[in-house]
Amino acid sequence: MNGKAGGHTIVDTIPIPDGQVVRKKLHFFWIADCSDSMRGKKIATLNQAIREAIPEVQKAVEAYPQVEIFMRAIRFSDTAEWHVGPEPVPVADFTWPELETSGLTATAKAVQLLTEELSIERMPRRGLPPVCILVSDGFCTDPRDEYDNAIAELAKIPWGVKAVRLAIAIGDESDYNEPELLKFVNQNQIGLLKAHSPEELVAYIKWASVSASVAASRGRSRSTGSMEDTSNVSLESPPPMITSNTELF
Amino acid sequence: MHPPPHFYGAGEPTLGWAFGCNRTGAAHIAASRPCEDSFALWSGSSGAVPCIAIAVADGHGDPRHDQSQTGSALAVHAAIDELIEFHRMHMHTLPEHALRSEFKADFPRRVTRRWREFVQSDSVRRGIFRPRNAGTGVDEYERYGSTLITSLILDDSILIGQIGDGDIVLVRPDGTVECPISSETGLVGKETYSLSSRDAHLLWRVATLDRREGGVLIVATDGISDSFDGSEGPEFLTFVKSLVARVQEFGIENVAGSMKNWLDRYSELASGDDMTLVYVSINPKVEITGSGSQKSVEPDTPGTDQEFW
Repeated sequence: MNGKAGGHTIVDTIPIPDGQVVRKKLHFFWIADCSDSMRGKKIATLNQAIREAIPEVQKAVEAYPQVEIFMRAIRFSDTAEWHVGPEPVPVADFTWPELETSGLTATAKAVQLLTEELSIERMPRRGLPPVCILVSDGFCTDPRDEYDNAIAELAKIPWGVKAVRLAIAIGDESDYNEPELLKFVNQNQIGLLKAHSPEELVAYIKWASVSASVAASRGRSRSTGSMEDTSNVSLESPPPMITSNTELF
Repeated sequence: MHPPPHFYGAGEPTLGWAFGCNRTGAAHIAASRPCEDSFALWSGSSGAVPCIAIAVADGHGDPRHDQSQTGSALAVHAAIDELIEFHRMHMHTLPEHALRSEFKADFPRRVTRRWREFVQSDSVRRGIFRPRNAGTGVDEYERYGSTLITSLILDDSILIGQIGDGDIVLVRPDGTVECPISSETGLVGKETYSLSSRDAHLLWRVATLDRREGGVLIVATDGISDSFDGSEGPEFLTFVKSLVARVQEFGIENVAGSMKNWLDRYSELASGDDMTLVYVSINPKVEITGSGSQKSVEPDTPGTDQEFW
């Protein structure tokens, strides 16, 4: 099969064909509540937990060397805006700026901003499912219709459907609207992740970011049109939380 | 089911020749999963009318499609059988234009049906047959789910059929690149149409190309274009044209020797997916002139590459 040229096999000298190869991109979105109710221990824990989660995500996806994670973050209080973004940042370069608290809880506007970014015009049609993790401690202060419409729009666009969408609720169940946050989640077997304590918040942020990234990185093809579920990815349930102290939010 | 060959070739003196290479993806190796791609080539004649038949299939990797390695092998088997049968049935009875419309109307239905027969037979033989919705909601066709790209090279025409993702690109002698089947399907992510989809015969896309000028036809599973910038992306098309240039410069035997290393490298660096590439060199059609001598049909815009063809 191999020809010879000057004592060397010709195949050794054939340059690889041109064309720039690219790794698969996994887009990761944090959607973080920084309303006034998050003041104090909650926001401090959130800032710390996300910073600690990033190297763990990087380490976990080392098993998928063909995948490159790009991270962004949306913060929301009276309105929603980019905390890091809108340009995606390679996870290796991603740093989490300190999140300050103020104002109300414009969850609907945060979902709208996410939906714009997940549109087919802004995301490649081929690729790995994005990961979206919403963290909040309260009731959405936008009008109910606005929130429901925002969720409906998200659930209508292809990448909104295919994304791995998880939500972490902070504090006591009476402090937040569980059905409302559940509407964001599309991993029914996981449900809403409830962090009652700083320890649980750190654990859930790490688990959710790592598990969703690893599951999305697998990116295995499947047929359309005959599956009952439409999500690209299904996650295992999180491990049971065993809180070692009684410090609650 | 035997694993697919890494290399395989076929040729027909008047039409051209085909070469294929198949590699297990880096992510599959890391996860101890088999190669789920398959390909098959066939060349021959029916009643002295030659043809080359090509089939490339990509079994789905999702756990629901746990028999897709076999499914893709059965897909290329079914495709070659049906391409040969189509050629045998119609070459002497239909004019060229009718042949194309017959291919469009009939081939998807026939090959889908043949694949389903193979799947049913295989699942019964191996004792893994499960009627639809028996507990899991997954039927035996889904378990064997696979894409399929087929091509039949004829005297005047190149007939192409595709269900699901993957790429088929023709590089004309003047360097012009044609993507006869658009990659736009409306699907996102790793979702794809499949032989296992409901009404699969309606999900086929077919195209015909003029064979007379010849050229190079590249048929590949999506692991290759996903290693660049996707189907019809400029970097993928740069790769395609560059591959043709490498064959021109170094010859197919030497390129074939390098191909497995190239595909392994793309898979390691980029998509991680299985890789299958079929390279078909299609001769320009030789017209018989009035004096009985032969001459090649030349492209409208002769290029420096012409002597290769």
